[in-house]
Amino acid sequence: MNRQLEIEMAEHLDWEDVIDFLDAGFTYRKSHPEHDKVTFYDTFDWRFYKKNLTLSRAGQQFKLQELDSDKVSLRFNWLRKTPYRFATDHNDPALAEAFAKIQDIRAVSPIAEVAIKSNCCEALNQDEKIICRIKYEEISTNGEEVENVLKIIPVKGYDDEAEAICKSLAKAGLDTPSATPALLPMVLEHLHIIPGTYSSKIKTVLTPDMTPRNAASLLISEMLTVIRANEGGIIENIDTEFLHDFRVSVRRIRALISQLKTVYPEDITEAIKVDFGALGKMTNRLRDCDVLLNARKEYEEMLPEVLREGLKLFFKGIVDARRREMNRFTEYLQSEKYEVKISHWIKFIEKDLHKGKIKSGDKTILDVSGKVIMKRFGKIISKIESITEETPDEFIHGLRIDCKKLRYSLEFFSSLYPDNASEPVARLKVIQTLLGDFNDYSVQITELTSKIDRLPAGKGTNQIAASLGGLIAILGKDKAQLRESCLKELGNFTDDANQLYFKNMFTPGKKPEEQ
Amino acid sequence: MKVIALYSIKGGVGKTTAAANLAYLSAMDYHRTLLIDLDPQGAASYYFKVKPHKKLNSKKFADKNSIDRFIRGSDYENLDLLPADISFRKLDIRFDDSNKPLKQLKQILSPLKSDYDVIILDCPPNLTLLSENIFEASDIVMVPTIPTTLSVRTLDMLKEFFKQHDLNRKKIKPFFSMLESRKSLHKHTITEHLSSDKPAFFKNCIPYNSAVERMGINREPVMLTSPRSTGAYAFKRLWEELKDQL
Repeated sequence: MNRQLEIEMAEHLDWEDVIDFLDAGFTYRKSHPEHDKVTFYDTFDWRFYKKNLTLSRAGQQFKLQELDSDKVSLRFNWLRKTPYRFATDHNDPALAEAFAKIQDIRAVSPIAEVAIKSNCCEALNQDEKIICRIKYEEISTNGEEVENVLKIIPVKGYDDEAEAICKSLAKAGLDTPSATPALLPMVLEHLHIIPGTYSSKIKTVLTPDMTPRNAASLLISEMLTVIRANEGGIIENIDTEFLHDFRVSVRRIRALISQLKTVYPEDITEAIKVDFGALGKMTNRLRDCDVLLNARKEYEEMLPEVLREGLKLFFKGIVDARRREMNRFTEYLQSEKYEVKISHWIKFIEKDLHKGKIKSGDKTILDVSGKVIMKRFGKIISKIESITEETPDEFIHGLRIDCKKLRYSLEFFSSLYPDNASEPVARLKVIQTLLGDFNDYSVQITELTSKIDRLPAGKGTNQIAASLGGLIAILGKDKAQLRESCLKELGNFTDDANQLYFKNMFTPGKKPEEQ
Repeated sequence: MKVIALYSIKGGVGKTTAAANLAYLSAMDYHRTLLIDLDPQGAASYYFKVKPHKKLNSKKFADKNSIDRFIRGSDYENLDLLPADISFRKLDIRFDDSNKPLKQLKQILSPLKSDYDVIILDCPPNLTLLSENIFEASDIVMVPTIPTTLSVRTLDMLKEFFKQHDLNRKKIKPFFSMLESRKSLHKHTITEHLSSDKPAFFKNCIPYNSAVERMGINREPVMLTSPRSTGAYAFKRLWEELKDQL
């Protein structure tokens, strides 16, 4: 009997009754009841929970455990006044690395708080050695009782003694193993919180015979839900991924409208483009600041020590700029103007969801999606085939946009195709990552160059200029190397096998299973 | 996993009190800690009120796959004990009968790697085949040394033994124990050995302290019975210094 045993408590019994039933062969030492408060944490998108882990805090100590085990895999004390948020908050590099693998750049926030009143009794042998602990826990959250749990916790190596105690409790009818789930799932269920429901990935399932309009409204509805879900995190400035997911959904709405141009009346299409275009534009500077700040450590490591002071001054400016942009945007998000606009589109889409029955001869979403995908694919192929060594970088940046549009198309309509078109999406992700990095280098070089041009005369200017100059040189070299990798991957995309795959999978007019 | 032996050829130098208190401090620092009492006298086991399993004997101990079933939990979180049995006096014979007589203890401890971060060995006061197994299996051999000329001479004998048997002398980490600051010989010995830039001894010494002596009555680590005693503070400082080397 190595592990602790949880026993279902009979309703007519209380803790004092349990003590009375215990085996008389041992001495029992009761301790004063303990009152603990345990707070559970996770990222907005449940990264810990999805990995079957819990992060909890009691007092100043954090524990990382498996969801259904008491075993603690990592622990740390948090003594700072500011709350623990990011993996990079750890001074210990080993902890920073371990937590980065789970939460990446996302912040953790409290998800549930639990109060546990523990009554504990230690069973002692003739040498006054503790051989078993009996614990009665009263678990509550938000002032409401969740569960009462009786635990028999044997001390390692004293199995026979623990068995004797269990037998004595069994005589009193306390022998039914408790079916209580692990603490966090139990508390979440009590709070009616379903973990892991948020995702920024498209989950809408389309059916081949839907109208394009119905499909568009379903997809836009999902994207509006994601936009709404991320507003709070942006306003509270929890982490940069709230803005990222917000922007991705805004961009997706615009991309969808551009791909399915005629599904809505012209004035509606135009209004969506204008409103969501403006919303996206409003966040550009803020996102640029976030991208630079997320790359801060990488930049510092690129430069020799002597140039890092200038970089510190530079980033101080970026932090200030971010603060200004964040204030501006969060003010807008909390304004009546924004609320009216976003509510208007939510209501429009809700009403629209039940319209549009298919009429004989009408094109279905399957027809339209195939056409859109093949058109975008064809454009990319012909552009890639025209690339030479002299092709300017700007042409490759343009290709990034084309690949992004194709990827959006595949993601919107993936549910219509076998295996959710996972293979072409995966290939495009690889290309987009390379092209994205290539683009980031260009943007950063441009941004840093313009910053040098705009540096005011004064204290620290020379230092900043030297640091930024050094950084630009390194980024330029890395960018040139990356161009080679991009071109190679783009070349692979045009191979015969891939072109045949697209032709067979997405040719309009055929059901995918016939291909 | 790190293996730390508390070892001395001489008895009565504070091995067991050091083993018990350092094991407790290791556990309180959230290291999963196992204290193995290799001294048939069983003093460490007595401190923690742990008696051996009825079936534990030197033969079972030497069986590499059965050691886990004889480990018992202490009263303290993260601290387990493998208590001594009187038959451990025969461990030398057991080990001598095997193929690799010097590596038996290392092989016995190997399966415990995934369960424990720190293993502390309370060793018997002699120089035998078991001792050689301890030297082979340990990452650090802490040698409590009373600050007298004769005790330091005994330490030098140990270092010579290591040299003659091609053992890594860097494992030997002595510390001064049972220090009585009123005694000029003690003060002189400590000054002589701790004044250099790279002293061979731990900087922190354990004083002779009645609170530590009373561990045998209270049967608890000194940090619990007399947390404000000089003995308790001294062990905490020694643990912090040891931790840096783990």
